[in-house]
Amino acid sequence: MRCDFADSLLQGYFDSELTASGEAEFESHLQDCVDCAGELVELDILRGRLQLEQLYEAAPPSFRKKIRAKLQPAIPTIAMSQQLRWRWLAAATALLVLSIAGWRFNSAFHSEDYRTELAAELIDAHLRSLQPGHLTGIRSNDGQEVKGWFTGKNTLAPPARDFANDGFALQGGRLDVLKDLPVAVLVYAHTGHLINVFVWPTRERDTSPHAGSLQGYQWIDWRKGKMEFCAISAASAADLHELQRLFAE
Amino acid sequence: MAEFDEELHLQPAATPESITIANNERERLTRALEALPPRFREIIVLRELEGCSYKEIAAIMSIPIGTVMSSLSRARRQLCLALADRSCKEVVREM
Repeated sequence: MRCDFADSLLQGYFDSELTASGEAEFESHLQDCVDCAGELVELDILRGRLQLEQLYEAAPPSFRKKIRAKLQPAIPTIAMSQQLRWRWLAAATALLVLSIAGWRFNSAFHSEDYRTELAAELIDAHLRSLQPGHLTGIRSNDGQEVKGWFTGKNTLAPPARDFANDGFALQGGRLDVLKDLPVAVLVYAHTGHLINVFVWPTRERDTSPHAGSLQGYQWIDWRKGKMEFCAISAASAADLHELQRLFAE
Repeated sequence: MAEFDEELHLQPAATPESITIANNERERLTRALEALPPRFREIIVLRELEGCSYKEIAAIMSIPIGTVMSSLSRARRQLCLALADRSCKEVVREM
């Protein structure tokens, strides 16, 4: 049996069309409603499938412009800030749902579990990288050269920059695997510690850093420019915050 | 720490196999869309493929916004059912 919200608030929430109070109401409901959370996942998957290239031929821009002009009075006048805030909130909850679906779907929604599990996988990758011959695919302190190496691998080219003057010397980069998919990794050395900065693409907005520690290792995660970064090291949390600050500049 | 977005990973160059899979998926989606009642197909196209807001959809289809929501809900469910050979739930279970 479907939840009563499935035909109303859930659709509006998924499409970022609710008012602020409607959004708050649904997010509160979402905490306890596994059915709605599951349906959000289904809707997201369906939307993803519909984005398939060549499925739909869009109208030419000139024709589209004419139609839009005729519809102008009907176009919503919601303030941009509200729309952006909506998208962020919707994305955050969708992330919570999708991440748990991706990392063992179950009825309990504990974002900390997800963070811990992903951090654990990244720490494993960090430890593997410390084995002889595994640290770098390209060894260089030249950011352009490292970035070019990633580009040549037909993968995401992260912003490779040498911060040696600030104590974080670029060592090189490599491709690693996370959840069976390649991720770019930048390697830095700082006060005797190696720091792996894992980088993968994201659709989400920039976020401030979120840090934690596990098994004696520190991690810090942030998003910038449609990329998500996660730095892992045995260095101190303060050191990772400093490196994050350098990336953010 | 946020979601690891698998979809955004650049895919290797297209292979005959990947092209065939994409073609099959496109045919499956096209068949499912064609199987929808015209009003449901219209609302799915407006929202998911044209990116129209609810207000725009309401204006185009001459229906109240509340009806946009409920129609979208039914249209999406029917589309999921029409894709029953590989339903949304199955995809979730595979994850």
